[in-house]
Amino acid sequence: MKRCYPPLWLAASALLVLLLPAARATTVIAPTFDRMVASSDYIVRATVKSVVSDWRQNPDKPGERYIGSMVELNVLEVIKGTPPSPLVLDLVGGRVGDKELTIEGMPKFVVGEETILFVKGNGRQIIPLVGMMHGKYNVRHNKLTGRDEVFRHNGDPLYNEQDISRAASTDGAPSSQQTKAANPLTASDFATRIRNSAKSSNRESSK
Amino acid sequence: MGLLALVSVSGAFGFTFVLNKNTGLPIKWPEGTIRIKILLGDTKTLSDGTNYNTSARAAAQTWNAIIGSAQFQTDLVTGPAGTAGDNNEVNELAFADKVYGKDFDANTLAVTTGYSTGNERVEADIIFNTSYTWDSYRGNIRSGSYDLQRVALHELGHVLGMDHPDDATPKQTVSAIMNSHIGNLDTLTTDDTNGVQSLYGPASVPPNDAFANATLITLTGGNTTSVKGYNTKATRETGEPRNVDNPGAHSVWWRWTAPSSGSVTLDTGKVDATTKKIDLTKGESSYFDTTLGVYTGTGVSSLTKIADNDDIESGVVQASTVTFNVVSGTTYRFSVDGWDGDSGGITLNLNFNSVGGTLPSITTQPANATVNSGSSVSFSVAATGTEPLSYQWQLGGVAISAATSATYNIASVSTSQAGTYTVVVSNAAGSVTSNSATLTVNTPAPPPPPPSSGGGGGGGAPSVWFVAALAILGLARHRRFS
Repeated sequence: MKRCYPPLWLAASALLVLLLPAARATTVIAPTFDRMVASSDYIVRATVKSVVSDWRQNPDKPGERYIGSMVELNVLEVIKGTPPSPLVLDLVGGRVGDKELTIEGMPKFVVGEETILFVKGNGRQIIPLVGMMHGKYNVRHNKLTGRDEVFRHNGDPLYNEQDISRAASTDGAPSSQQTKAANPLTASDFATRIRNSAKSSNRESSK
Repeated sequence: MGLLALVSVSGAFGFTFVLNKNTGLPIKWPEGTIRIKILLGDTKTLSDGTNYNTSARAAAQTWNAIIGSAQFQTDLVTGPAGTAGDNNEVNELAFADKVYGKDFDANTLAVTTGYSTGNERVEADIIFNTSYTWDSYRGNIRSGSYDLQRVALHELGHVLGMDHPDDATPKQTVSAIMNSHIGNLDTLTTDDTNGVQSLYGPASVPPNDAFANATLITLTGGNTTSVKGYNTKATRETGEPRNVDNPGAHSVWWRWTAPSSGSVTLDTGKVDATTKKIDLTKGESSYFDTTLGVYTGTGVSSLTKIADNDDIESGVVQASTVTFNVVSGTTYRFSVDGWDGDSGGITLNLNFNSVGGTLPSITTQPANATVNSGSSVSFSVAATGTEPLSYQWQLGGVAISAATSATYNIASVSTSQAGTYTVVVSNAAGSVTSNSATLTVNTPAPPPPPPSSGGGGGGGAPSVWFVAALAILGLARHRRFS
């Protein structure tokens, strides 16, 4: 049997996440907030400008094709790192004509939506977001409060950035562990906490 | 432009599906065998005694045990590990460190990729990330290694078209192997079973497959009701009519008797007011492209078609709907089939509109009467029911002209009007006929006999005989004076 074995550092990090409570996913292991921030190449608040799908060649298998998509973003705010301009995410999956390639667990991009994205490995990864769907948070304007609030990929409000590491639900039980606050985080609050985490991470790495 | 990914929505029980965004219907395999090649390898013996290939095959067999119209082919297990091809219309399970030449995210255990055309899946591959250590065992998750079998069970659920209930909009909170996270659960739950059987049906033939075994529908919620079923593994009968002239292949039958006249709207799915697509979120829609037919008659080969339909909106909303008038007491037969052999879970919604509401009900029946000829008589009826009520009196079953109110008066009865009277009371919902009331007409009394001689009588009108006598006497006197 031909197997590729992981490098030691990857195996070690896998072991680390295995120890996280209720943080395992079949396709994706939900990352912690700090790890998401640290792992991201850049983090932006942006609106989706366009989504275009086409057939591409698999570089590892000449002659084999797959459907990919380019998601063009209109960056409203750079929260971490230095994204290219224009910023276009390169994803596996999409629709060409009547044929569609889906990657289960891939986040949905809707033209016009506002979102906070933890981008990693754009052009190299299947989905260039940390933890696939965990790397995308939608921002919705609350007309009653006037706040721009942050929501998880499954539509749950994000009350605390640490909730990122929690699974969306547990077996048959509501997400009672989820931190309940009066209101979901605002986009600016979330951005502040991301920046604080990034600063903390930088301090740790510079020691 | 627009949505990049297929939209996930919730089902009635929490289960969710990968949907065709054009139709709103789940993407699934056509009936038959889902060919899979398990290229995970068979050289390493795992904790439960399996190897990677046989562990994954056991997961496929777990799904096979509960689904009807499609089955994973599991005899294609190959010995050595191999790689999955892209867009080759072969379904493969393999280990890899890349997918389509791109890296896994560091947090991703396994990925299921699926190609589809329209509502049909045409290829799906499962790639297990070689960055992780894999084993095969039951029970709680162990530290340091992932159970390939439960991950395969989850990913094969994706291959079948299932999605994450906890990622649905709105989110569902259920116990399910199809939830987005792995945990101590290592078997399918009721929600997983309900979900996959909505797509492929159970392994059994539906009880209402044969026309003669049509399931009886009764109105349970006022004038509406919804019934559930499936048509996977159902077959057509000799002489059976075709809905919308489509060949079909998997018809099932219901029957319903109209309690009163009116109209019925029958459908196999509801439309979401916002998306204008079929709405699977409320458990009111079927999970496949249906056809629907309404018939009357008692023999499957001699039915009279009343109405049929393919799509609510051709090619877009692939649920079916018909509206037709019904006559009180008539039994209607409903056939649900799949367009070009499609099949799956059925929801059939019936909305009965009894037009005028409640049928008339007679509270006071007309009474018998006996009168003399030339006398007057009156018949009356009292009835309740949705207004307006109308009346038609009949004599011997024949409508009487201008006798159209609750009371029927005859000013001067003749003997020809004797007989059996009924009244038909009607409204928009239908009509009822009263009990019979009999009119008896007495004929006039015969003339009295002539008076006897010497007899006198006092008082009263002079008799004919007396007048005649006077006339004779008067004539005699007239002759004497002459």
